Amino acid sequence: MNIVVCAKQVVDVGEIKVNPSTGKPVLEGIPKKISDIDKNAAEEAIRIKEKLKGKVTVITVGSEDARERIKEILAMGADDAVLIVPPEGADYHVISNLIAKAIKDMGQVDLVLCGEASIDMFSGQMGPRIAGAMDIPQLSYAFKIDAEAEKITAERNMGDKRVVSESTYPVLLTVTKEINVPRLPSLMQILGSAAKPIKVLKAPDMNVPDLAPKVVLEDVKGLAMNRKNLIFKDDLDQAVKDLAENLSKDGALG
Amino acid sequence: MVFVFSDNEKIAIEMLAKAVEISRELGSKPSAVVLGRDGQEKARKLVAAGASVVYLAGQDMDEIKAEEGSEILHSICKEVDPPLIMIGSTKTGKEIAPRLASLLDAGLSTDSRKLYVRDGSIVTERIVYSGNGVATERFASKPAIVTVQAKTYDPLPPDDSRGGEIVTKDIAPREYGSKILKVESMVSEGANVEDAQIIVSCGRGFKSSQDLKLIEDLAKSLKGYTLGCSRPIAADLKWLSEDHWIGLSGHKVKPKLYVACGISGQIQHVAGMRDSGIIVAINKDENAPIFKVVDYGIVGDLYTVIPKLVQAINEKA
Amino acid sequence: MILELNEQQVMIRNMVREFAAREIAPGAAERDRKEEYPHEILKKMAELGILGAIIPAEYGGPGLDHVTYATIIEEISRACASTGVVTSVHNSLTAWPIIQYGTEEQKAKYLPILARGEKIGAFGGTEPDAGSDLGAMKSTAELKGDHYILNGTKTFITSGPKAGIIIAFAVTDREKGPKGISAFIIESDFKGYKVGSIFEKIGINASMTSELIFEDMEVPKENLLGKEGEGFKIALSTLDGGRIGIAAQAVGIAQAALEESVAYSKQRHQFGKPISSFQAIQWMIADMATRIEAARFLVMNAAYMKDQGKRFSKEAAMAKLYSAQTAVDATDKAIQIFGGYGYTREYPVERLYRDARITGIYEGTSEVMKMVISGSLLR
Repeated sequence: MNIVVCAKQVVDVGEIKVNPSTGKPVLEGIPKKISDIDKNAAEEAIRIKEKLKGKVTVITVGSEDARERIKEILAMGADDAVLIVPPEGADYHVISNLIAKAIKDMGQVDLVLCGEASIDMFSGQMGPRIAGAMDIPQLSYAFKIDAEAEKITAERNMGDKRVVSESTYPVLLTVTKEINVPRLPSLMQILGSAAKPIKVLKAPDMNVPDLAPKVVLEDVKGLAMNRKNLIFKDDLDQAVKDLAENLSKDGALG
Repeated sequence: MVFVFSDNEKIAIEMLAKAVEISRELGSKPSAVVLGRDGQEKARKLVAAGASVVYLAGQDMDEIKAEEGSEILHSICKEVDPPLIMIGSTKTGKEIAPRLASLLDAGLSTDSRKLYVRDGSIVTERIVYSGNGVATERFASKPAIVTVQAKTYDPLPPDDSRGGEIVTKDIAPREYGSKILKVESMVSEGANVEDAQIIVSCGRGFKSSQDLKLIEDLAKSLKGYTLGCSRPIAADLKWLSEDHWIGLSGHKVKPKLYVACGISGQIQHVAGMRDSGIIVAINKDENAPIFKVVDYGIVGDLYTVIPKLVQAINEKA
Repeated sequence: MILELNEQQVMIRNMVREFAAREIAPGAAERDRKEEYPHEILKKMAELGILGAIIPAEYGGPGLDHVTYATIIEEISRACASTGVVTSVHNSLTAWPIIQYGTEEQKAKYLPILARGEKIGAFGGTEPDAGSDLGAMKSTAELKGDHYILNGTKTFITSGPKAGIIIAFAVTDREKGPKGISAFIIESDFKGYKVGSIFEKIGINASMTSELIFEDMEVPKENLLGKEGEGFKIALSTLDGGRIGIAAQAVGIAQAALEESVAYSKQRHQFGKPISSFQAIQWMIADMATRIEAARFLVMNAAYMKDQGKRFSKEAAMAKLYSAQTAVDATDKAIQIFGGYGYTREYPVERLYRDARITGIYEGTSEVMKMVISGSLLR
């Protein structure tokens, strides 16, 4: 079984601070990490490899410094990695085509696993776009997977419905955070990951015809929260009275 | 032709209101696609909601598979050449939209909360970095594709006298290696947080599931009986079913009044409730991030505050 | 000297930090109260290679350098100082002397067991009447045929009741003074091995501490570590390394106290403001943070010197002296910042305060550290 995991290096959104004067989120100096749900995908890929044998390749798209983060997944048990350096301003269209091309160039790949979305942008585009570009089936939002030699079954969280789907290979799955708890690599694995190969591909060398973005990110503003922000404390008897009074004035007490 | 599709009829109707408006600017017409059974009946509602043309396809499908849904939409788009496609942000919509975007080599922006035309380009806004920012994105592709969450737009009042064309398309999708084996309702307590007007929510501040009676009491006093919760309560502790889960990966809600009890206010949770009318929080940690996004807050132990608050509200009412 | 961890060291620290947060920290207060040895945690640590951190790869460990090793002892101790000292003793005082002085047979026999955590390591140096003054040791070892016969009592032995492999010292030739002391690898199932009384302590309560009693204990000849008469040298060089571990433990405790203090002072309100807005608190926090940073650099420096194969006795002594003082000072300030709550068992700082105190005592008291430092300067 040849498995590809797509993993993205993201800023740790929990650490983002907002610049009080511009109201914009400050991204410089924020620690980076592998997007949480992509780690769930990696864990699932490694479990499938342990069950069915084979190889796990992790693909990431990003700057060269993503190399260090991607080693975390190599340490968990992936065998090798591909780091694609995208052109400036690349959007989901460009990036998904680069990933699809990299996978096609790898030869036979049976299973592609992605997180349902990355924690920074939470678009959820990458998985289905890659499946579309590769023209293979997709099973999204899987919270339980059973991979066998000839087919794979997934229980999927489709909102108000639980859908059980199966597919032959090749197929792409996106997983949710509930699917597993990613393992911690051992120290031996961390040290061993240094020797695992990371191939760097530069977009212009990849023979992907259309590298022009279809969506241009113009700006990221802060999100203005126009709230009254009245906080009551200390004297709780007074606090509940004040709150009830205000809610009543706002017509929120029916 | 601006295109609207959702497996959720309510979102389709809401999106049509926007499609009507933006069609005028684009010199286009609002249209909709219905996939699956009972298409005629649904199509008439969409015409009443503003669609000039409704395409019916895949009428033998019980469930919409992403591969087939996107292939059918792709095929209609090829013929109609829409400048803009709006797809409802249900899970089904969100697995179809990117695949369709890939087939059309088109740009896609998910969970678009604003949509307008500037200098001939379609521009959209979406929340990024878990609620820390709003990204403005300009489309450089035709079509532009967006997904839209429930309640983003107000529907037009239905007008049964409105005329509209209903076109049946006979498109047989290819065979794919995937199939749906089983569909069942999620374990649900029947909560409908997305439509609720008053929501009282609980988080990690509660020590045991028995204590949720406190928020039930509060909900009763507020005359709203919809309970919500943050991620750990539904996903980890399973004190409430997932239909109560409010947040980025749970439900996004927009009630008139939202009361968060014992919820610290992680950005993922706030992303699910930030559009509520009035936001109230009760938390013992004054530095809890939730207090940054509220209209009213009480700093105090919820085990003390809630009973007092229930009494104070009952006295007011 | 290096002042920054490389990417791999950062990855290792992050993994151990995550492990400590998931597995070690949650039960630390309860283990302290119940005086419960962290068996299960040590097992998991062994699986991840943390328990046998410095054991070389050919014997089943990750073979970490001492800078990284000190970093992970700090992370473990930040969550639980008891687990920290058990790990430090297992590595620095048990595995290290075998790595350094053991025969190939001894290494092949004992290091994999320590790496897999099948047995926990301990160090039998101190005696009731011979603490800092190792030369006053009373335990004896007499060669009879294929065995040494050991008699004596060791005390204050970390992990004593739980240890399976013990590096112990005894006099083989009384005439020669310190040069008549020899080191042995002891297994807890040797005939004549006994665990004596278990101590009730102020802190590090989850690390059990006891006496070990050797009564005509038969130790196979091949378990002599190094040569006869090398025991004193082995003990001193082993303790030099151990001090890096204890210093790192002290930094971990101090760091935990700082983090608790920062969080609490932002949350606690008095006179209508968070107490973090008062200069009295701000200065305490600044002092704590500065000393911790300095202590950490001293630890890294000593560890780096050791990795470079340079003499590091003075540097290790400085690191341990200063880190121990820092831990006691920082935890004391933390209690002060927490006020009345800090004095209760509701909050974690009282445990940190109790745990910190030992770091200026074991593996060489602060006074002995000053002897080592001044000795190297005034020689």
